[in-house]
Amino acid sequence: MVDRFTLEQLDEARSGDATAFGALIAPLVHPAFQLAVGMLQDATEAEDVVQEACLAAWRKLGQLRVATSLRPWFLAIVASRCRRARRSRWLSVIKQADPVADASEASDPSSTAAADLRLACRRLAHDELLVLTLFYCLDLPLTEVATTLGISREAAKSRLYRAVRKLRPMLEVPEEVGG
Amino acid sequence: MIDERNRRLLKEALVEPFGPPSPNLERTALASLERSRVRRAVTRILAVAAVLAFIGLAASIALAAHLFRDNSGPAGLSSAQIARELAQLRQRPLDLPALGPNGTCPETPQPAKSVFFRKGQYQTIGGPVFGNHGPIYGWGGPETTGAHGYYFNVTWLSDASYRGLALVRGRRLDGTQQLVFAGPLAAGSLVTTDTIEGKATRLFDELVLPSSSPSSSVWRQWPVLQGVPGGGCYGFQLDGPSFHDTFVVLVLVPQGG
Repeated sequence: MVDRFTLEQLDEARSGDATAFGALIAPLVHPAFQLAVGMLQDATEAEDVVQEACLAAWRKLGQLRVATSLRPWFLAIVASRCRRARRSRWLSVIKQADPVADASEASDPSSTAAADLRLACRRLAHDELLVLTLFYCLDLPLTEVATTLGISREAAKSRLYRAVRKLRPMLEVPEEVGG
Repeated sequence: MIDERNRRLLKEALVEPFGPPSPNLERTALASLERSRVRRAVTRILAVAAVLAFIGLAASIALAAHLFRDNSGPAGLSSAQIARELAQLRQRPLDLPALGPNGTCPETPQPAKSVFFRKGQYQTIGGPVFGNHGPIYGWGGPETTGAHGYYFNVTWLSDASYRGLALVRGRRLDGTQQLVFAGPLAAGSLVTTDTIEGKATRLFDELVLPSSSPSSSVWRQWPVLQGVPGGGCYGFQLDGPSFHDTFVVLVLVPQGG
């Protein structure tokens, strides 16, 4: 349900009121950062992506139809920016050159496991890493994950299952993903 | 249970190492909206200014093109340039059609030009004019009889796109006489003097239609008195720096003329 206050803010934001838009988007900045950092593995890059996504959302606000879809709509914009950033060759070169962090993690077994998982995640396709991050790191319900991805709930569930399978044995494959 | 374990592992691997976002991320992100709004407003103003500037430039170019439209090159020539152009036109020989078989006059079909001027409103000329390819045409007027010839109040017309000078000459194709012209635009050699409407009038063998400054889109017109010694087949040659045109007219005069 969308309360009347949110709808009014949305109307004001659509009419060009940046303050109203700010009030709508502010609660989404933190999840957006979590999504971006999960996808990019770089805090600075993630903050840049969130800022860009805020601007893009501000410009595209007219395309938003229903207030209930504000969070998945905004996260989809963030995901799109992340895809663009991940495609950047420059970014991938920077990502490869991180030997100090990997070396410090090598002494702690749990850190080693995390590093291995992180490395495995980097090898996933964008859509696979995205579904994992949305479902497991942002704790979004599968329905909202599907809305963010622009696919059906069943398709989202299937994609999640495939992504988890690729990360075996670091992750366990559940019988019923996202039940 | 499995979901919870996966969730914990993935958070540890992907999110937690990077900690929370910097405290001012929210403020920075929202401040960028304000900057964006200002930038958009400035961009919009600049876009409007650019459009207006473009319209102004296009209008200026159109106006300049309109003003300087001239088939013959720049008008407003100096006297020396006009004399030089005129001398060059006079060097062109008369290139008139010959009589047809059995001495028939090769009359040129009269072009149908019905609208020539626009000064506030269109002025329509009824009927055809004398000419061929243009851009200069003659429009016949009332006839006057002199002591030695027949004279016509002809209006010479110039297409609005033509601004240069023009030299009009001609002769009788079925005889040896020349066309003659009177008035301030008459030029060349003095052919004869005749008494027209009780006034002694000097008649010359050329007519020079002057160039004009490119300031108007209306057709130019010159009322001229021109004459022939008698009825017959007459060829006209019109020369300008950028054109050459000829046409033939069969002049009919009252019996005995």
